[in-house]
Amino acid sequence: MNYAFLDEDAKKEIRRAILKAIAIPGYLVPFASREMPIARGWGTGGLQATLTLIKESDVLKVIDQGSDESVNAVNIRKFISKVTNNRTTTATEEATIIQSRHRIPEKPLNEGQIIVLQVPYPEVLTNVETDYEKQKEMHANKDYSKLWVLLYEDTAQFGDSRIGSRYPVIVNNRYIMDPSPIPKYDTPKLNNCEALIILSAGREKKIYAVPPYTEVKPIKFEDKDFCIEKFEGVKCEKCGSEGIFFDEIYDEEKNVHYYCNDTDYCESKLRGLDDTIN
Amino acid sequence: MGYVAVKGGEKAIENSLVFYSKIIKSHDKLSDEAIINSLRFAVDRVLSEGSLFTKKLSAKAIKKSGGDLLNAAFYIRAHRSTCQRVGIAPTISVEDIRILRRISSAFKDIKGGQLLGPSDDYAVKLLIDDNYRQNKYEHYDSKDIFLESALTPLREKNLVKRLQKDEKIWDITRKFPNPPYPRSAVQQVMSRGETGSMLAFAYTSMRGYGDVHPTVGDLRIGFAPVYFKHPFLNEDVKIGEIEVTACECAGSFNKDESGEIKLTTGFGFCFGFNETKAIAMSILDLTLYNKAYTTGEKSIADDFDMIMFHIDGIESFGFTNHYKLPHYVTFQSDLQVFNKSREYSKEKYK
Repeated sequence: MNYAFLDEDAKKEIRRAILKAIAIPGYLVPFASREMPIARGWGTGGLQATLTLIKESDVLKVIDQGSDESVNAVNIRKFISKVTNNRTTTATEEATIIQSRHRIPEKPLNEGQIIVLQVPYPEVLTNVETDYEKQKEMHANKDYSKLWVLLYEDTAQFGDSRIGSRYPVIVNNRYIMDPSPIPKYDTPKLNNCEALIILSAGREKKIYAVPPYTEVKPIKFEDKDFCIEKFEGVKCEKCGSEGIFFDEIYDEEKNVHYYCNDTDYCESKLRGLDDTIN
Repeated sequence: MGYVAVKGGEKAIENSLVFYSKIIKSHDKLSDEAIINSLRFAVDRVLSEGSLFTKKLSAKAIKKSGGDLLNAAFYIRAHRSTCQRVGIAPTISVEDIRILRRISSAFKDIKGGQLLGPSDDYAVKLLIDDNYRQNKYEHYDSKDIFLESALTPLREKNLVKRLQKDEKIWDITRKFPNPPYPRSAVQQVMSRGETGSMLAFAYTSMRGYGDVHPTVGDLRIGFAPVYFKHPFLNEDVKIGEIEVTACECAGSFNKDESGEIKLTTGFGFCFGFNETKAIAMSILDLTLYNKAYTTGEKSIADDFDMIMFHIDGIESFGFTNHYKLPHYVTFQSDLQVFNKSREYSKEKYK
């Protein structure tokens, strides 16, 4: 079997798509998207991007919902290490490639790192325009009026946008982009991020990217604040962290407990290895 | 505690796989041959949706997935993805199919006749044992039969609307097209589409969301020869036969490119014997390229995006099942937005 599973033709095609995506930040680049031995919708886009980018010296981290131990993360990590034999890690700072579903790690990402985000809905306009050809035209004309109208209608009726995760962002002052289903808490981390961000949707066959140090802003009205998820008065019951993204857990007595969502962050705090965080 | 359950981790996955193999354990007793020869329509469906003509691997996939055909087709697609492609074989003509069964409902009698062939269309569906196997079939000519399409006479009279041919055949497995979609790409997506999805979309068009009332012009199952260029002789050599189904249906009339009124047709073609799929595909083909006159508004089955993105079983099945993956981060975000909206609403309308 080929190193990193994919044949060289597939890798070449995906690398070209990635290069184009980096050159036009936030723009959706179509690619063939091979069928993987993991089901569509389970991270096949991210998987193909990772398998294309990875080289022998890379150290890999895979997370799902902030956790290295989540079933899907375990499954994908196991598959990638089986076909590459590369070293894997749970430590964010050690990884050169991080494949993630729904979260950006708490520890800041650095230059030279690549974060690959798994994407279910690459097209940010899908909710306001179903016609594929019209979507392309709207992007070309930078015509995002329907998204603004949606934001206005939501604000008028509910006081704010109804969007929880996957909050639309403007990349490099040009394309509006779906940042994958990360919580709004993670949205500011996209801005001026030191690491390269690759977003890949296998089922929808699209790759897009945010190069390092690119301006990424959530869409919002001037007189309204962008509100992220807040956990007021909450502390992690394991490590004592505050002001980060938490898992809300109900026990059998229906009492609510809070733990760090990012398991690596929590463990680092517990071991006291990293005093610089938080 | 819920916390542990969500983080199943490696051990849990392994246990789950062991458990799964236990509940379908009797499949060891089934040979591939038994599946190929008895569950042949299951095998045909899997190799068609899996997009790779392989009876043996399809039988294996059916066993591995405990008879879940969507899952089995997924095994074949995943395998197909790893196969090296050697080249592109010359196009197969419907008229080169060695016929096993061919019917036309458009004409009472046709050149070559109505050949019912093997079919259970007229079986009365009662779960009692019958013994057709002991009977001999009559009037069966073992000679190879090749037939022109029952619609060929109409086509020769230039009464049938022709669509423009693609100059270059698209390959959707190497590049997915942007709209307007090349016809070859549309046909490829449908040919490996999921039978049930295509049936449902085609049914919308015939039942109420479109004005397609098709007539099956020519439906055939049989064996199509596959040729390939010999590396040394540099000429096309027959390398084998594949089992296929082809259907040509006729719709109402419509204007062609020059404005002349012509009879419209749709074409369906798939690996294996799957008449339902081929008929559904021919209706979708007809609908896509001949918009409805009567309903006026956009219907469902005549929308290219609708068909191109919603009939692939591997994709819709994968995505539907991905909702089983943990979503607690996004759900937490949704809950917070929900709570804030509730507060806002209460405040505003109190």
